Amino acid sequence: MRLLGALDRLWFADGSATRLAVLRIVLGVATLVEFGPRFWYFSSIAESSPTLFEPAGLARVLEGPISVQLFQVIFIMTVLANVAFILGWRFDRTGPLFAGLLIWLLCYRNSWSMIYHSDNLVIWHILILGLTRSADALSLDARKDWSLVHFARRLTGKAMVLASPALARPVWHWEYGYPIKLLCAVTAVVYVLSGVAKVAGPLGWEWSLGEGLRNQVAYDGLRKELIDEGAQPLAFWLYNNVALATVMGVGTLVIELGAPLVLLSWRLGILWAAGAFAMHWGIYAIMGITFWYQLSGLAFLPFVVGERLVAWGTSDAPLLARGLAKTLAAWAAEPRRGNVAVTPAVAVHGAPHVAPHGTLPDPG
Amino acid sequence: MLESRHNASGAAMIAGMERQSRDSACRDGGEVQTPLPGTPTPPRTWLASVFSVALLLVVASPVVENWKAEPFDDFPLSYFPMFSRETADDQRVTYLIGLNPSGERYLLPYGYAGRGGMNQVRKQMNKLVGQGDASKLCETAASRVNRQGSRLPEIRTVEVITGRFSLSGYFTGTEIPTVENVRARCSVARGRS
Repeated sequence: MRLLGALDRLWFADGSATRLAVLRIVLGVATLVEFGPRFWYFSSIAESSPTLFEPAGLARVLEGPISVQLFQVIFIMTVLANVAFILGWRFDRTGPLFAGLLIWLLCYRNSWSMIYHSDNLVIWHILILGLTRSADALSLDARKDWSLVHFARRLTGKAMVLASPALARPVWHWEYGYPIKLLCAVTAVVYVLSGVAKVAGPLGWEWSLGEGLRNQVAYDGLRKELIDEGAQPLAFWLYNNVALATVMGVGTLVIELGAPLVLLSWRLGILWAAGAFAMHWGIYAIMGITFWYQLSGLAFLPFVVGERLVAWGTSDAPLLARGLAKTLAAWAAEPRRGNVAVTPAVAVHGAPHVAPHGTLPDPG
Repeated sequence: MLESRHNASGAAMIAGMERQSRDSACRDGGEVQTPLPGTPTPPRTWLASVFSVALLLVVASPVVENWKAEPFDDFPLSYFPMFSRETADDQRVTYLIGLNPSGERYLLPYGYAGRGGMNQVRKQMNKLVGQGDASKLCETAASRVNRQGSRLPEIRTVEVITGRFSLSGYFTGTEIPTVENVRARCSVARGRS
């Protein structure tokens, strides 16, 4: 019972709505930037020969490929849902909708004879954010009660009727805390799976002794030499350096199999995230494999974006940025020798004086 | 204040929790927070617990594939076998070669064979060759070479080749295949731009 209690306190620790919302926005924007511009690329894959179609995941309900036009419609719907997800607009519907569409889209993209493992984690993260209350702050939904109509109705005593679910709860709640724990836990599970596959494979624990890693690097490198732009120069170096391969092999297994432990401590989580981030850059340097979600650090944001950082980002950082902007504006407006004639008069006289007046209280 | 805490009613409760939350936010970066004594705790729904446990079990479920005679990888439920397969020193790879009029060989990248990433096209190439459709693959590559026009050296012939290589040999300086089988050969149509 004591263990269950501890687990309950760990899992359902309170979190702020803003922190969860920041993750929704950042990961939503990242998804849009990553997949949005791939419309024609994904369309060209969807045009591949039907004989190459091997449905994966949700696409398995299909008996054969769908038409390219239908695929493109679904792609556009996914992008629109993605925008709604970022804005937090009607999130109770658009959150799950976007998660579902993204899963389907990437399942279909992986249904052409090859499964890529670079998009698995982003799918789970978006699913968690889409099914939890990640739009209770920094969203259009959260701003509903601040529209003029709602404000007027509040004055007439109808606020309770109109209050959105987002405002019917505190800004600090376990419902905002546990999704972040779940994001971290899912990340850990994915890495454990990868580690288990290595030690459960034919080489067993010997995978870590360098031979396993060297063979994987060589296997991948040979194919890149023959049908791509060539293996990374570091691949040849690593293959001929067993000691380095052993260090990297052991490090990989420590990071992958040790992932669940990081859920116990915030600081351990940050350390682990840094290690995993470095591991992916190592993979990129040696094998040229781009796990975009990991290489950009986005996969590890739930570990790194803490309450303090969010509090700083939503209170101090904008003030700092505003102050910096004012300083820069003042500096730019300052007449200097040689460019007096170029500096617009309005900037010279306006900028330094307007700002202080702006902070005066409303006399009305 | 105490009354409002114990009554746990509406706005006072929310305000109290917000105050507590701001204090907590300043103290740590997301560590476990223990509620202040007497602070009302909102009811925890079983739904969140079920959702958490179910999702973790679903994501972890492909682990069983590791011990199956014929493991099956899927998306997004993967057991991540990509770096765990046993790799023999002797490797067979199918690739494309372009030949100019004097017989000089040029490796043609995967983009001439199909659409998608390198590994995706590689698998598609293997599938086509395995199905006996190497000539189809050759024609596709030849037509794409033709479309490139003068941006490429004067390639007259395209070959689909399966070569055998020694991994250790290749990565220690012997880049020549031990065996090469020409699976298909086709001409590049004239009319280069």
